Order: sequence, then C-alpha cells, then structure tokens
Amino acid sequence: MAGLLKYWVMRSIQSFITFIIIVISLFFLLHAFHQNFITLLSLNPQLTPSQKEFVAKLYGLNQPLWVQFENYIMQVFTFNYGYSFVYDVPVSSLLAQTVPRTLFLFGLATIISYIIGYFVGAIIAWRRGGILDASNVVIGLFFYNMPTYWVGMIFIFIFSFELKLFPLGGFFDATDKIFGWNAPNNIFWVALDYLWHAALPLIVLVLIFFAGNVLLMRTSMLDVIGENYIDVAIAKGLTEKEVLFKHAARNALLPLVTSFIISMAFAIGGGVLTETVFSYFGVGLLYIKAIDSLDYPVIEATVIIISLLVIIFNWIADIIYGYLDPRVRVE
Amino acid sequence: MVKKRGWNEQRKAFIRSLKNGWKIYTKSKIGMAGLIMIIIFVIMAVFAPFLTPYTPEFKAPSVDVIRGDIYITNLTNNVVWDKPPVGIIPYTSSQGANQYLKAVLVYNDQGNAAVFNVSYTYINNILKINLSSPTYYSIPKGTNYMGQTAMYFKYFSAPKSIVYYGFTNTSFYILDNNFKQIYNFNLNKNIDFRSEFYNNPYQLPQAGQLSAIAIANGTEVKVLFFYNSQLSLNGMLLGVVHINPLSIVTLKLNSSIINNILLYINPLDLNSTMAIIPTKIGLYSYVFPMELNKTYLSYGLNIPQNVSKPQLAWYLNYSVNYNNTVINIYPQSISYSNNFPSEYPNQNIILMTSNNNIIGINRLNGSVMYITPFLISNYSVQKYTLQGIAGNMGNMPVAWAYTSSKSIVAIIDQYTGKILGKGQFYNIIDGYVNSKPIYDIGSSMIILSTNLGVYVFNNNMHLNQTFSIPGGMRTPISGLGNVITYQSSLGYFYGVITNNNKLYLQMTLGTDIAPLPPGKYPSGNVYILGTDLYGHDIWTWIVYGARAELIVGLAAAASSVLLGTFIGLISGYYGGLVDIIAMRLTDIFLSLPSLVIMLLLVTILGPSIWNVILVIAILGWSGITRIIRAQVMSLKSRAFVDSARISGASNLRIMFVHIMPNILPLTFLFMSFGVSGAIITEASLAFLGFGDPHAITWGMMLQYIWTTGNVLRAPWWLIPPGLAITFLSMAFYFVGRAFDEIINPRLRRR
Repeated sequence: MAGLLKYWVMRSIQSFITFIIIVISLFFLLHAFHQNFITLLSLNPQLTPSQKEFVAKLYGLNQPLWVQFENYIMQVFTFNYGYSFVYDVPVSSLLAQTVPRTLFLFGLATIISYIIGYFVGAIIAWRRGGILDASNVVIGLFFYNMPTYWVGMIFIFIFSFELKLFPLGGFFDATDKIFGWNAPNNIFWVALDYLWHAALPLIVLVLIFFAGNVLLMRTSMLDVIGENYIDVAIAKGLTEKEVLFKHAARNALLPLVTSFIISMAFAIGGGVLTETVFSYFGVGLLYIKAIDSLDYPVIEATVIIISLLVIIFNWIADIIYGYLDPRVRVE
Repeated sequence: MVKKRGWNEQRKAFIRSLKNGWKIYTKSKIGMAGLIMIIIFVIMAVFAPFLTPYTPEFKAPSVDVIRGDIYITNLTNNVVWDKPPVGIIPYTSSQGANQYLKAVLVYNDQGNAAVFNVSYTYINNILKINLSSPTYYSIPKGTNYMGQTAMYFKYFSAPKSIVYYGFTNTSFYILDNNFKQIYNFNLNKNIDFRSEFYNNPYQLPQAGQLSAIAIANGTEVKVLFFYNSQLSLNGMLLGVVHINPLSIVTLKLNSSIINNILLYINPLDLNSTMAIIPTKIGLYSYVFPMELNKTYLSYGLNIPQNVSKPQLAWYLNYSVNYNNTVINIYPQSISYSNNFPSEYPNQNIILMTSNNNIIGINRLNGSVMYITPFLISNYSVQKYTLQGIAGNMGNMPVAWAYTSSKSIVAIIDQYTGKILGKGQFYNIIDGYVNSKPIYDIGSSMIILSTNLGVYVFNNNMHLNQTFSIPGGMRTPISGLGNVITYQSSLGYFYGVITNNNKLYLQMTLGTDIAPLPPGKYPSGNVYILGTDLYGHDIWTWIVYGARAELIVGLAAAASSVLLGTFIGLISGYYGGLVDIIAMRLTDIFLSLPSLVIMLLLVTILGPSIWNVILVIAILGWSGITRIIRAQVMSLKSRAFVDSARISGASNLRIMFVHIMPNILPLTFLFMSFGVSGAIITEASLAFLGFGDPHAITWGMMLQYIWTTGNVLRAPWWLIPPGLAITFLSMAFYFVGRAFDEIINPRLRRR
C-alpha cells in the first residue's frame, strides 16, 4: 500500500509541477501574442495614441513584467478572466455555458466508442482471424484516417440536407422541429432536442474513433486469452459467453480504462474541428471564434481551461491506473 | 585496413537485413497496399504537369462559367417599328430583399415601345428566363427634343402599377402599365428643358414622399407631381403647377394636409433664359441640375417634417476663372454623389472641361479644388468625353475616353483628379465603350458596355468577367445607355439591344463563378472532377496538391521524429539530471492539447507552410521520446556498447554510430505514423483557416468549400480532397503497420 501512496504522491506532484510550468509558459506565449497585437495596432494609422495607450493599459502591458505576471497568476487561480471583447459578458460565464456542452458531447462520444470497442474488440479477439477481424481493421483505419470535419461535412450533406433527418448544426434551437414535431416546452423535449442536435456530431466522432478502441481491446484481450485462468474457466465448463465477458474481457479492461480517461482529455482539445463543422457551440468553437476575432480574454481563458482539463484527466488516469495495476507502483 | 573491412561487413549486414525485412514486408497485404498508394501519390506529385490538362492557376473561361441563362428574342417579329429599338429599361419588383427583374421595356426614339414580362423556371438546376410576348405601344411622333432625335421613355412605380411616361417635343404623356394613356399635357412651345425627380425610380413612393416631373421651355414650367395617396387616379395625385421661370422652385410637403402641396418660390436674380427646376427631392435637400451655364446647389435644414427655405449655396458659371484660365464645361459631365451633402461632406463634384481637364469642386463651398488634365501616359486620344459615376462607395468616379476605335476606362481619385494608381485603367481593344459606365453599388462592380460586349470590373479595374454580345451592341441614344444591369436575389442581369435588333438578356447566378460539375463544357474543356468556386479544375488541384502534402507530411514528420529521437537518445544514454529534465519536458509537452496550442502558435508566427511544419514538429516530438528512451536504456547495457567504450569511443560516437542504427527502425516506424498524422494535422489547420493561403493543399480546398458556403452545393468539390487526404494518410499508416510487424515479431504471429 505504501507503494501505491508513494506513487500517487509522486504523480500528483508531477502533475502539479507540469501545470505550473504550463501556466508559466502560457504566460510568455500570451504575452508574445499581446505584443503582436499591440504592434499590429500601432500600424493602424487611424488609431490615436491615446487609444493605443488605452489598449496597452487594458492588458497591463505598460506595467513591469513581474507585475503582469502576478496579475496573470491571480487570474488563473481565481478563474477571473475579465470580459470578452466580442460578447461583452464575463468570460467565466461564457466558459460556464460552453464547457458543459463540450464535455457532454465528447464524454458521450468517448463512452459510446469505448463501449463499442469493448464488445467488438472482445468478440473479435475471441474468434481470431476471420473476415470480421480483417474488415474491422481496414474499415476502422479508413475512418480513422479521414479528416473528421470532412466526414462531418459529408454527413451534414447526406443526413441533414438531403434526407433532412437531423438539424444542420447548432446545439439547441427552441424553434426547431424534431423530426417534424414542434417541441413543447418541457424538460423532456428540451433534453431530446439537445440529443437530436448532438446526434450527428456524436455519430461522426464515434465512427472515427471506434476502430482504435476495438484494436486496443483486441490487443489487450489477446494478452489475457493466453493466460492460464482462461483455460481453467473453459475446463470448468463455463459457457463461451460467460468466459468471454465475465472473465476475459473484464481483465482486459484495464488499458481501456486508462486510455478512456486520457481520450477524454484530448477529445476536448481536438474537438475544435467537430464543433466548427457542426456549429456546435462548445469550448472548441468558442476558441476558434475568439482567435478569429482576436478576443484575447477568451483565448487566454480557453487555452488555460483546456490545458487544465487535460492535466486533470491525465492525473485521474494516473491515479486509477496506479490503483488498478500493481506493477506500476514500484517506481 | 581494419576499418575498411568493418565497413564492408557492416554494409553487407545492412543489405542483408534490408532484404530480409523486405521479404517480411511483402508478406503483409496491408504493407503492400500502403506502399502502392504512396507510389501513386508520389507519381502524382512528380509528374503533375503531365497528368493534368490544366495548371493550378487555370480558371474556367466565362463561357463555361455562366450558369445562368441567356435569352435572345427577335424584337422585330410581327412588329413594325418605325425605327429600330435603341433603348432598354428594366422593371423590377419592389419587394426589398426579393427584388428581381419583372419586365423589360424596349423603345425607340419614335415613340414605339414594347414591354416584355419576365418569368423564371428551374430546368436542370439552371434558372431559365422566359419572356412573354410583348405589349406594344406607339405614342404620337415628335421630333427635335433638345436638339436630339431621341425621345425618352421611362417608367416608375406608382402605388398600384407601373406607370410609363414619354415625351415628344411639345407633349408629355403618362401611360399605365397597359400603355393606356392616362394623362397628357402640352406646352405651347418646344420643350427645351426637362427634369425628373423621385426618390427612387424602382420603388414605390413611400407615404408622404413626392415624385415629380418638371417640363419647361423658356417661358413656362409645368411641374407634375405624384404623391402616394389613395385618393386619386391609380393612386397618384397629380397636380400641375405653372410657375415662372427663373425661380428656384422647392416643394414642401405639408404632411398634415394630404392634398396640399405647398410651394416655396424664391425668385432668383439670374441672367438666364432657362428655367431652373430641382432635379431631386430628398428629405431635406435638393440638387439642381446644370442648365446650360449654371449650377445651383441648395440645402435644406435637417429638420424632419419641416422643410425650410433652401439656401442658395453656390453657383458655377461655365466660364470659370480659375487662376486666370477660362474653362468651358459641358453639361453632361457632372458627377456627384446622389446622397445628401451632409452625409458625405468630403466628396467633390467632378466636371470635365472642353479641353479635357478634370475639375474638382468642393461641394460645400463651391471652391475649385483642382484642375488636372485627363491623361493616360502613352495614349493619345483624338477626342474624349469624361463620364462620371456617382461614387457612393469608396468615392470612386470612373471615367472613360474614347476615340473612334478604342476606349480606355480609368478610375479617378476624386480628391486629386488623378488617375488612381498604376494600371487602374483598362484598355478596351475590341470595340469601344459606347455608354456610360455603371457602378453597381450592391456588388461594387463597374460595368462597361462596348459595342461588342460587356465588361465587368471590380473596383480596382481588375477584369472580372466579359460577355460578348452576338451582333454587337447598339449605340445608345444618350445618357440612359442601352444596358440594363441589375443585381437581384436571383442573379445578375445584363440586357442589351443588339445591332441585329435582338433583345439579349443574360442572367448569371450570383456575381461569382459557380462551382461547375464535372463534364464537358461549351469552351470544349472537360473538367474531370468539375471546378471550384473560382473556376479552378479540381483534378488539377488534387494532383498538384500531392506535392505540398508530401512535402509538409514528410518534413513535419521528419523534424518531429528527429527531435524526439534526439532527445530520447540523449536522455536515455546520459541518464541522471539530463534524463529527469528531458522526461519532465516530455510530460509537459505530452499533456498539452496539441491543436489548441498549434492554433495559438500559428496565429503568433503567421500562416506560412514552414510555420505549419515547425508547429507540428514542436507539438509532435514528445510522443516518441519515451519509447526511444526506453530502447536506448536497454541498448546501453548491451555488450557492444561496453566494447565500444573500452576501445575508446567517445560518448557521442557511441550514441550516433553504435546505438543510433539500432534505433533507426523504430524511428522509421514513427516517421511513417508521423507522416500520417502530420497530413491530417495540416489538413485540420488549413481547414480552420490557419494554413498557408498560397499553398495548394487538400486542406485548403476543404477550407474554401467551407468558407464559401458550397458544402451543400458541390459534392464533386467536397469529396475528392477528403478522399485524397484519407488515402494518403492511410497509405502511410499501413506502411507503418507493416513495418511494425517487421520490428515487433510477436505481432506477426497474430
């Protein structure tokens, strides 16, 4: 047990240090960003010097670097990122709106694709070879190598535009008709509306990532199947299904779990593309819009939040992995 | 001697292992498939010019591109025109955003007119125009209107219908939309002046707005006004006012008394035999026309409901003394904004003199701002007339000059009178400009018609499109021109009367080139995969795109893998503090959300292809470092490293000569997967708008289709780039997988 605790503490310290270092490096990155902005501004002859000064003051760029750094650290830890230039609301409220949506979409997508991966991978590994195996590899890899937004565009074209099954984008629309019905305004329909809007992005995401999960589960299953206790279980006379799912697959679950948590982390960061194509207003789309319109408070905030989320999920993955796999504890 | 043998042996061993590896590789179906695909793409990249019929800069010619419809009808079928038709006027529906061409009026100078109603149908995804059989009309003939043989025909929208009006030399007619005469009056002598004013000829007068026509000769003026009222004939209230000439007439609307129209008459002390009549009534200010030798400008005050007495602002004599030079000015060359002076106080009025000088006059105080000669270097004209267009957007007058066989068109800076910039004039080689350039505000295009065709320029005189008109275009009778150009929600119209007495109506869908589906086209070109919005051939772009993709993919993967390998090597070999630092660094970079940071970096560094490669390398190296490090650490304790150290090899030598070759297979493996990932990452960056805009890559193609809104319209444009990305990325991934099987033998048995 001591080994586990030691492992946890070490990992936590590491994560924390990583976080600090990222925050500091982001400061310098964003500082360069701001300087860029100020240089661009000064090229604009229509701005008066007092206006340029105002902007410089707004970012505190005329203060010494150390003071700016202090302010920055304060901001990060109190989650106070100021006001958005474009939307004119506090950035934290924007984040409070968008982060849950992103988590909802990508969480659901990751869960579904891992569930698929779990079952399909287990079945494929059990029946080694065969057409399902080979075809899974090819089809899965085909989808994995597709640009996600391209798949999204095609799906929008086929399912939203031609067949009119799903909405063209967005995440919620009180006036939309779900499959032609006018949604009455109660919680059930609202939830259904959310789901309906999220359906296409979900399908696209699952399609692209399921293959990797299947392969992962397959590899891990193959390891497990070679173990002794599987032979014992078969010898005992358990049905094939029982052996497959109760014994083999569960033991093969470990890499999948940690991979799942880490996937969540990176799905958030990489979700920019999917959200752009479907106009799904989550953190990714917020980030893109902020970069396009040079909305600095929002850019800062989203980058920090996303990095924070990734680090937290990695940390959680480490903790769980340390618990589940005793081999890691002896560091 | 010892070294040479060593090298030879090493070389032989290397070749042997390559051959072995190749044998294993060929057994893997996936590997071979991947390799074949890569070879195909490399062939595409290297032999691109031979594989494509066009270059990437090629744009589909306008003949193919116009996906709208062309409608030609013979104007002289079953009709007797006293003289061939010369003029054309559009009638548009006045429904705001859904404006479209509803009818076309064609007329000659003898009082014959014909109206065609326009209808639309969709056939094969192309909007087709259809013209009805025309309604004809003739009004009693007249001649010698203002010394010209032209007779005007115009229309505007009354509250309930189209109203046409026409003049002869002594008569004025108003006709309803069936050409039935509903009003006419005569003057005692020949009309020698006429002006019309309304808020917008294409729109119904709003409640309370006035439209008027004034007809004058030397001794009497009749002003006819139309007022949107329910009480009168066709919804128009007609009134005629007989006023003294030489008065400045202003009309005020007393909004509380509907039927009452008051006039303020200010006598003006003038030495003139001409009447002065406002040409425009806006809400608050009036602009007076130039008569033969005077211009008046007056302003009302900006008080709604209450138009006050106008003030005389200034007037310009034709013979103006400017720096002791007498300048003579022709009447038709006035160019000024149609907007109220208070909105654009900086715009000048631009006039042309009889000796080809341009005068700019400050519209606020009438002072002459500049006189410059209208010269285009190395071009001498025999005679030219300056025509201006009201510059509403960007303050742009456009001037054209013509000889009997050539024309040049230029944009004049209205603050200096000089021709704007370099090359902002256009030399029309075939034919000559025969009517006033038209500035279409909605699309910011300048439309020029010559006797042979129509030229469309954007607002720095860059030629956008040309259309040739079979038979050539009829020379217009006067300032009205003989081209209708109109942008509507359905498309962009051109209408002309050709020299063969045909009505040529053309409609293009939108003002941009539409993406063309694959197929054969009128110019004889075949587009295998169709074109994109700008007319570029898709197949050409896919083939040429392979170059950029391969370069970016390989370079980015190579830099990222080399960096990672290098760090892994050093960290694994030296161990200790270096190792700890390197691993922490790797952890940090590993836990960064790559796409997010890449976007941030590209925004700071700028969107160029090398920055993209750099950024992919910066965020990609951490993936392989750990594995390389693990490998290095296990190799470090092997016998051959010890023996190398004993024989005196330096650390560097051990690392790069002994250990590195054993890691190379792993490096190549990661290179393969790296290229696959780099291609997709580059495509993502391009799609989001952060790629190099000058590079032709498949990601940029997808970005264009997304940002120009053609996703739902052009599947031939949407699918190929995505497929290309998928296959190239898949190819490298397959190669990597096959390679993986060579390196990790245990994978083979599965």
